[in-house]
Amino acid sequence: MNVKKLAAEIGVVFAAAALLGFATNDLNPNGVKISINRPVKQTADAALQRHQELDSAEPIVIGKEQLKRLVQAKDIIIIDTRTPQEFLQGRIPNAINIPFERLEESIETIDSLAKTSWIVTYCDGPPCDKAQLLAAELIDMGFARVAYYDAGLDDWKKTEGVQQ
Amino acid sequence: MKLQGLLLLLMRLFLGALFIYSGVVKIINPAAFAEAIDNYRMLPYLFVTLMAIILPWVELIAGVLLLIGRWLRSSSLIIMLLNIVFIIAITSAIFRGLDIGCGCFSVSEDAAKVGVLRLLEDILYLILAIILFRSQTIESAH
Repeated sequence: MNVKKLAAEIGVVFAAAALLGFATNDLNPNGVKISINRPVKQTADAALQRHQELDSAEPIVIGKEQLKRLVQAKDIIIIDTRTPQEFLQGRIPNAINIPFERLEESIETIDSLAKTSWIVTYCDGPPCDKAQLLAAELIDMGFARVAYYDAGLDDWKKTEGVQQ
Repeated sequence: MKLQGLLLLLMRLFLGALFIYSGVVKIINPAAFAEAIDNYRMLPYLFVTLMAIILPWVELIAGVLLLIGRWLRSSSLIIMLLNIVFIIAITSAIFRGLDIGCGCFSVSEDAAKVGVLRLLEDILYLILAIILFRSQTIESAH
């Protein structure tokens, strides 16, 4: 058996695969980003797992960049915890409104949320703590993937657009 | 020996088509494939991304080579090596009790879970690849 020929052919296949792979991955909207660090979705999953291991019922805090990456991954439900009037004046794109003060009226909406998606709550940002409170309520209701965007809409508006 | 030749041809076409399909499914969505690989928790994330980008094309090219009957020894050897890697990964996942999608012929979350059935499938493909590789080696020796 000509081992050299065999090795050369295999080398060509792998080289061609690498060339085609990198070229098409860049053009593909579903492409994977080469990185040493796991994307936020998995990082958040791992963080959540650690929380569960510690038997902690605390929702996790995320920042703007993490929120943006979750939005890109599309596996997310964003909840605006402010009043309907505030919600209509401007919100993070695609957010739904569950005013913290009217939580009991929104039970049906909450029940209909997918338990497999990440849920991120927010309000205006400190000193508003409605996002954190609603996130804790959601955990108590049995949702496992809950985070809150602590810096809130005030922080979001600095660099990102709002939906009206 | 005609029947043997026909069987070898069928095996070759089957494995070729299977790996073309498997490659294309993953090429369409490298991000989902990366997640499927990462779920095995066996590799650092950098290797996961590189594997998600390169491996599907290796499957596709090896599949095409098998289908068109060129470089049969190297393509069947590649399929053998790939299946050995898959068998190790699935076995390790089974022993660790991981409830994850296989990432074998679909990258969706509803894809077949890792389990004994998937393991047996990969062992079957490995055997087919070995038979093809051996038949080529014997042929070239004559």
